[in-house]
Amino acid sequence: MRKNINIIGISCYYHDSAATLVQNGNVINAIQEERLTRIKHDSSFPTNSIKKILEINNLSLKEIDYFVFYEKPFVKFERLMDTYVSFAPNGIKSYLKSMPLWIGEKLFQKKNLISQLNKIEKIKNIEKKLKFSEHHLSHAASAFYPSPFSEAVILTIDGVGEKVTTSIAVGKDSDISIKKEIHFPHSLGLLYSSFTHFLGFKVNDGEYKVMGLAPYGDPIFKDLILKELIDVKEDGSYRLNMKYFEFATGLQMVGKKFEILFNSKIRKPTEKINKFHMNIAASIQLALEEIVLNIIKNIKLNYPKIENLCLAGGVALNCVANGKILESKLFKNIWIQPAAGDAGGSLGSALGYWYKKNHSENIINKSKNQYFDPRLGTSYTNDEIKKILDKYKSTYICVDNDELSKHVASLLSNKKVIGWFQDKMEFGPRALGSRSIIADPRDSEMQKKINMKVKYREGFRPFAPIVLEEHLKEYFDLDHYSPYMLLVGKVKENQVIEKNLDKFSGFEKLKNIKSTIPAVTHVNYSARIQSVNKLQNPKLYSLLNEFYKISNVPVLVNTSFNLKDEPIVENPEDAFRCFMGSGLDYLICGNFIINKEDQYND
Amino acid sequence: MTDRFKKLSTYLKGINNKDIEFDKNFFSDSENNFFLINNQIPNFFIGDTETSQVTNLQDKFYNEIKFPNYDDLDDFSLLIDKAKKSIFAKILDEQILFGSKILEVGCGTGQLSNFLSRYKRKIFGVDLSENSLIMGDDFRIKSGIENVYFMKMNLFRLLFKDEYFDYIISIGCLHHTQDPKKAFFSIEKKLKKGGFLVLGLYHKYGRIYTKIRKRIFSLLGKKAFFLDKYLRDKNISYEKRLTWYRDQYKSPHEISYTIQEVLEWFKEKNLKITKILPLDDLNEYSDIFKKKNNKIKNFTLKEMMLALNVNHASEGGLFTIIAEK
Repeated sequence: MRKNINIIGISCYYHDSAATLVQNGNVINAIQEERLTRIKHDSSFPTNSIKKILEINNLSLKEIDYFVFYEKPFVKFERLMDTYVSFAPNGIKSYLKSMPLWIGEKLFQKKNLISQLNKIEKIKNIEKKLKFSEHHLSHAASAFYPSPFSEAVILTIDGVGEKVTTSIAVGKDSDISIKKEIHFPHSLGLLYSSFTHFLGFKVNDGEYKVMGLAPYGDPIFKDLILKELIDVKEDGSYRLNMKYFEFATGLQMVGKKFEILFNSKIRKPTEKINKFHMNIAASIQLALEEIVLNIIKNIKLNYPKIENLCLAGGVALNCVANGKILESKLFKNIWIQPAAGDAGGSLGSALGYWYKKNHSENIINKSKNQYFDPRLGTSYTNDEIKKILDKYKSTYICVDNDELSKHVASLLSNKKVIGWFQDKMEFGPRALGSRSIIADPRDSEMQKKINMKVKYREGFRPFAPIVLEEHLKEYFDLDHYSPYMLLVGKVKENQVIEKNLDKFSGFEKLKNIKSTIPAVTHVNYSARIQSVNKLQNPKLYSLLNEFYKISNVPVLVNTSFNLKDEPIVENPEDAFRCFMGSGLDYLICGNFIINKEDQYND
Repeated sequence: MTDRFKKLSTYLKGINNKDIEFDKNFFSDSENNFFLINNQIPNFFIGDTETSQVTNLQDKFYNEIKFPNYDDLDDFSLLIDKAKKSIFAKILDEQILFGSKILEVGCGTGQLSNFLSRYKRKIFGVDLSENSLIMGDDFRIKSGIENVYFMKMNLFRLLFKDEYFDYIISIGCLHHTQDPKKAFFSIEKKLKKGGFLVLGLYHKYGRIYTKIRKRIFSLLGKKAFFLDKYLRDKNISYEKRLTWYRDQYKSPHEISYTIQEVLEWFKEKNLKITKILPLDDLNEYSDIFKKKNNKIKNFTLKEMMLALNVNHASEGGLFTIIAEK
């Protein structure tokens, strides 16, 4: 028997750290560190993820052939130096403050990585096993290799890697070659994040809120953004007007000049959101969509024969922009890596190394129906779940699979909000039915209820629908399956009830019954769709199907199983604690049904 | 409402659950107990001659100032956000067992009681100030919280069953009574064996800054308000600053203690100390309900250092002892 080749990909020290195990070219497990440490966006070395992956596969660290880090630390160091030189003497304060940290922590990153790995298990000559990928190559690999295409253009856009902020590559069979790059400080990711900061949300976390807020406003500042902040060239490339940004030199994203441009102070986190903030969100969202579309148009001009497009990098999580790309029909097919952010870099770096290493002998045969299953994390047996429930002296019942979907569907139709914990945990920022909160989409109060009374967060945040794949077109204008909840489509006109939401202003729009599925219809009638089929997720399919039988609606609300500012739950104990600390009515954990009303009564 | 009051009566001693009658203004049972209700807040106050002098003063004083006050927290999610900024409140919420019964003595406007209300805990908040309790209850109703009960009660005459609560929390209250030690014994009686007491009191040395500021304020008036961390903070609403000012500088009666003095009370009742703050370290991983093994070294010296700890003093100079019965 041929020996397995095990590669662990690692991303860390910037945003979301994660580890991925690739065995003989197959992605076996991928886990984000935050889920295990319970620190949201944890960026420390993914010790826990690596340990967990080894434990699941019954491997020791010795049996790993290569460790691939997702970026090249030295290139990043040079980028920082270049930046400071070209903006000098501005930024000297930030230079003096951040450089010692950098030199301490990052320049010696190789040493650091080795010592972290050695803490897990001491291995001789580990430095020979440690390899480095390039940031954008890691993203590109994560988008191309798991896709069903044997040829595609790969576009990656995010804040910044080592120095690349946007890259265009072409993937063919097992090869990826980078064709074009845009370099720091010119970055769409950082442009969007600057507005996240301006709107008083946390950078690298609040981007979803900006996207969710956008439909409440009017894009009246879009032209100002395109005129003053960014210069978009004919060829699709762009440059930021660095006069307005401070991220290259300062310790924050934007400052005074930005405030003067928009004639408003940076919103304080506690300040109420008003129409101006909504308009800003609408403007930057539309600007982003136009710029991305412009890039895609140029890609098409340069590669007219390639019909497939792969996307990754943080900006690819902007599902509204993805929807626009799809709508443009410039590419016949698109595929987006569900872990498009930095965590996905661990997956890309490991896969990329495998294909580089096994270049000639591994011409991959992809089928069009190839499906990348993002459920790559931990899973728990009913016995393990029972132990936790008993530890907490919880009251529960246990039923078989058939009974489970029927029972839960009936609870849902009675407006109960449910924590749904099943199978392997998803990789990437979205809950796709393994660690989800689900509810009835027909209830017009549901959006408010889940936001305010279940997750304790801002009431305007929209929710996404899951829909039976075969009924997708009855409810949404979308010709494309969307198994990863990364595409947006409009709710079909015949499902719309209040057709004239434009006459309402701001959050007033929320108060209307927008459609037959109001809880998942955003105020511009769009929805961030996840389509579900029987093969890909049998349990979720069966639940949707049972709900359809009762309600005649093949749609449910699906949102991540967590509370505000917390990572998504990982294990049954997280799930039970989150359930008890939230406004959830029921917890369904494996085959156990736990009713909040039955807990801890005298 | 009827059901809520009926349920409440089952937790009280000496009240006959049968034939309970009540309307908007009163609450009575078959044993001829009769209590008034003011804005949904039952008044279970029973007078007490030995302690009545101070009690009456405080009743009047705190009925006018609502402390700590919700300010602009208008929903439960904001309360959670805010409470979690305090590492102590966060740890309490994480470590108090699910489904446990909690008594908060001196709950004021009830932020802590409301904050701890998740995880199916049963919480009873008692205070003298009806107006504060009404404010807490309004927030409770608005947030749809069912398992918190606010009521007016005399802490020397608690109507609850003995050895009933899993946790009793009293932070910043007992030092305003006529006889804090007696108050301690009175609330300790209601704690279950194996239950935990969380007691916060003014520290004799830690309070020195406040006492000095009080003296300066009485000489210079408002001009000197910049000396207080909260009074000078323009981000805090005027009303809230006024409340802080009155609570800290105008209270009609306060006594402060050294930790060692108060530890004697715990010794008398054989309570096992699990944490002493701020002398023990407190971080996100501290288990505040686990029995202490380490002895605090140089205890007296450390206590005396509190007289120099500006941070501690600016928060009002409280110390907190946590112990298991």
